[in-house]
Amino acid sequence: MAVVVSLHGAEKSYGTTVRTRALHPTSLEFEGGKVVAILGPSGSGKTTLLNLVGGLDRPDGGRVVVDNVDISGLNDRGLTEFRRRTVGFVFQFFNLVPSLTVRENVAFAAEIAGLSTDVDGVIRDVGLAGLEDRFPGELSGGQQQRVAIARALAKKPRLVLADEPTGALDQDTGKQVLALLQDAARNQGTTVLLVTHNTPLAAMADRVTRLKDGAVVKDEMNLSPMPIADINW
Amino acid sequence: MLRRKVFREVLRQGGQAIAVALVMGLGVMMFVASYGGYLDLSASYDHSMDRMHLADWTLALDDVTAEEVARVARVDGVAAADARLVADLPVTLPRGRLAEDREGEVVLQGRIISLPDAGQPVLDQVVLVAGELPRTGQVLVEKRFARFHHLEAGSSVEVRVGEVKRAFTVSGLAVSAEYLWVARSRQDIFPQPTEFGVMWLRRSDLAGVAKTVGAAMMFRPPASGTPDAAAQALQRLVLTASHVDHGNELLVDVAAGRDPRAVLAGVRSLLGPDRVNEAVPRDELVGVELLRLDVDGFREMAGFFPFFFLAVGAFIVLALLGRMVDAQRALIGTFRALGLHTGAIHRHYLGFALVVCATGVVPGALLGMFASVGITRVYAQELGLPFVTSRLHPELLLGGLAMGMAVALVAGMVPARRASRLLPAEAMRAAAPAAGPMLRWMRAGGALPLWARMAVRNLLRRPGRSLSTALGVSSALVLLVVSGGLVESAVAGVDAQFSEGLRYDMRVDLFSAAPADELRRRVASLADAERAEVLLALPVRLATATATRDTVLQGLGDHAELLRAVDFKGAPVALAQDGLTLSTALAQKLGVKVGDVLDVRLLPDGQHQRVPLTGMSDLAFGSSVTMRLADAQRRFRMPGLANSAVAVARAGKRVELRQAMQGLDGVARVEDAGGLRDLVNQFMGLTWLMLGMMLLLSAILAAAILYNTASLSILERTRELATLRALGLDPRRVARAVTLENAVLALVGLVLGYPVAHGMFLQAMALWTSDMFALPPVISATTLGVCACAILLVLLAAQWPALRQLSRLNLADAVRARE
Ligand SMILES: Nc1ncnc2c1ncn2[C@@H]1O[C@H](COP(=O)(O)OP(=O)(O)OP(=O)(O)O)[C@@H](O)[C@H]1O
Ligand SMILES: [Mg+2]
Repeated sequence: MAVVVSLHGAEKSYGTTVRTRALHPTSLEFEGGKVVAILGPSGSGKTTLLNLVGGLDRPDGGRVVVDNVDISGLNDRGLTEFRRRTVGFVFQFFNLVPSLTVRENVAFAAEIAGLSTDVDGVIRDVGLAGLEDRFPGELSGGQQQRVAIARALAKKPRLVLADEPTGALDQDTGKQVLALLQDAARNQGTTVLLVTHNTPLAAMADRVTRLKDGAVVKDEMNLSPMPIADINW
Repeated sequence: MLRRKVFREVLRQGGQAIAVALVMGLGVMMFVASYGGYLDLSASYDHSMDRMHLADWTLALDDVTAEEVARVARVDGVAAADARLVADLPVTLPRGRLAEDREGEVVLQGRIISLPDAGQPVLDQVVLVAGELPRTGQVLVEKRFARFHHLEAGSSVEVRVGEVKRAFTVSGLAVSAEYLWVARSRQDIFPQPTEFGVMWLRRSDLAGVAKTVGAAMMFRPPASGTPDAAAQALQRLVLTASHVDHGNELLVDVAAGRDPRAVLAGVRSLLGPDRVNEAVPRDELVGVELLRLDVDGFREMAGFFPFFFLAVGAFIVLALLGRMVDAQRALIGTFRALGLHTGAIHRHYLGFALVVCATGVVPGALLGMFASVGITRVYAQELGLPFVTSRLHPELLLGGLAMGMAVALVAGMVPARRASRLLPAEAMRAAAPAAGPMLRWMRAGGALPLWARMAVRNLLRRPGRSLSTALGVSSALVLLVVSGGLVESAVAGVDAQFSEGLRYDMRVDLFSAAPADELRRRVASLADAERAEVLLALPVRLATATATRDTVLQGLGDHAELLRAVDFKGAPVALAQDGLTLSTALAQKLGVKVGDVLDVRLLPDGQHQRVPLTGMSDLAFGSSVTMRLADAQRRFRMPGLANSAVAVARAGKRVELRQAMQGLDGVARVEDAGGLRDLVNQFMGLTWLMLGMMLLLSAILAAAILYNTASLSILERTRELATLRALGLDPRRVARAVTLENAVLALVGLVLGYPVAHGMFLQAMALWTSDMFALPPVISATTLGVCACAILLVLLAAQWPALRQLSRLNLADAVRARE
């Protein structure tokens, strides 16, 4: 499989007076169709890395190339376009549009990307058939996160970025959510970057990248990912 | 700890907090300043009237003797009594000002008031501004009149009728409480110094003048069989003046604590029946009443605007705090979980409201207190009050502070209570609040594109919030429409009056009536007159069962073009056969409607007529009553006669026409309508200033409301909107959704606000109207449209900073944060 995401010495600092190096110059390459678990203690730079890849933030130096496009050189408009076509986001706190129903939330994402997806099919795939006309406020946390995943997958993105998608969920619900992401990688060839500080979770990934203090300390393939059902955390 | 949180949040809410502080501060400042100004001006005015011993009652009689005055002074409840002679006589200034830039001989009407031959009178004293009291052969002139004509000690003033002339030199300049506002009568509250002036002569000199004029008039036999009113009045004056100690006005001061009406009754019964032609209490003297109206304007300002500001401030506090509580649900839950008492949370949010308001209210109240002194000084100067008392009003400062903080307390209470009542578990729930009562409606709207559906449903999701936002827009509309309407009515009223009602340049009034056709020919044949019309102007007393009003009845020709009754749009009102047409304001004062019959008594001789009211007209200045010339001639037995003429001057020949008119035989006064227009504009200048301020303040308030409304609706959904942007939604489409939402709210607000705005506008107009100064309410679709568009535009502009903030937002941070 071809390389979908690559970082070439990308780095990021925050703050004006006291500068925090959130990410030291980093070079990484992620292949397509894989689930990559990004691990590390709190404050180690996981979210920073994800934001650079997702075009929510720009590196201070180095380059970020996604799907053969150097997104570190794009302007705001270009980044918007990039996010619209290429990336699906799954947030820790779901971030659904509260005034749109389940179906509409998913359809809206597809519409933004300019696709006419079988919205009900995607909702069925995430196991929410029958709840299409509910508003987010009428769903449980796990259900909301599955809507979020449906929303991310509806536009058939090359890349799904999930930052602590199970952080607000119980273990069983979390498993269902992770399984959905893994299926997307297996069946649609989507690349999934999954941020977690839950080390056991890494067992389900095809690859594990470990960060500490803004630097990659370990980056290795996992040739035999465990079925999600067998993982406990 | 929580206290530090309050201060940081005040800082973080920068724009909103400033808006609240500004609005509340302005409100309190206006209250303290204008109420303080009112108290001080009112006190200064009262003080001035007392110092000048302005009489409690001014009685007009044909004749009152010194002996009677002495007896009146002994009537139970009378503190002092005095008599004087007052005469309206033609006065000539050999070197006066004909117009702004033309000097020359000016003939005008002088109101000449007698002074004792030695010293000040007991009542209605004068205050010398320059020079001294008049000796024999000298005249004291009213300050503004003197300033206009550049009169000073030594200048010459003459009383001339035909070939007879008496000349006086000016002894000094003075003001009197009665003429601080120089009004000729209730019909003529803006006489120009080119046509009317107040002056004082020694009693003996005034008697001499009256005799001279009277003698001159005797050679002029009345054109009709019976002598006319003006000649009659003059004869009476000459008679009264010929007795050394008689007067035609009796001044009565009532002892403190006595009922003035009862005292007046005592005086009347002493004098005997039908002696008193008119009794005017101090507060109803025209000048006093007008000045009082002016001063009262401050009280009205103090009563109306500040409360509007405070209400708006309360509204913004409510919205701001409500949003904060919503945004901090999780935090509140956490605090509660940590064991913080509900009371502490309540106090915390209330504290926020108080701190924000106090930043505006405290400096506002202080500024207002000092500004009130300045306002009093400037305005007292403008009004020409000779005695000014102004002081700091700490009680108002405290009142303003208390009021401002009370508003903050009440407005802050609601969201603070809501915050303290949140259950920890509920507060910490990650889910967005449920859709609420409008849930059923929310699923509708399938035809709209998703972004539009999102916008519309957002409004339904929090109906209370949406409604309050819409009401914010409504109040902005109310503010703009009320002040815009006042401005428009003033413009339209003045315009209709001058472009349609008073279309002449110059008017001349004669002492006695002359054959109408001959008068018209005489005036029309003046070299610089283009067109002339004649009319009959008769002083009358209108009476109903409950009210009386002295005014001037004008008999107008059937095809009159130059002076006619008009409605407030300027359309001429046709005069009905043998009936009266009254101005709406006067009719209101008299409490009559079309079809009622009024008692009309010709002044001063008392010829009675009962005439039905057949129509209404609208005139902006002075009360007005008109009837057809032919009817007036017949009813008042002056067949074929007229005593006044109006004319249009040839281009650029106003002053020449005026001079020619001054030379006409038997002229009583000449009036320059152009000058009147200038004067009205000058007076309106103050009004414009006030209205302009109102409009400006309204615009500021409206902008504050709209800014708050627009930016809150965006900022409170930062995370949602940032998520949409993260998903790749174009910032412009995000803006479009937000704009749609605000536009819908604005439209709802406009629709809800319109009836209220219209009602308040009519209310404000009613407050502004008296029988001397009446403006019809006019508000055009254009004004309404402009107000509505302005609101929409301001709303668009107001959401811009928030949208900009949104587009500059670090998306990474915004999507991560929990609401
Ligand atoms: N907006 C910001 N301003 C300043 N410093 C920041 C900002 N965002 C992140 N940082 C700092 O950058 C470093 C990396 O942050 P990052 O959010 O990437 O960590 P993380 O690995 O995602 O941690 P966590 O597991 O707690 O989410 C931290 O030290 C953090 O304090
Ligand atoms: Mg993180």
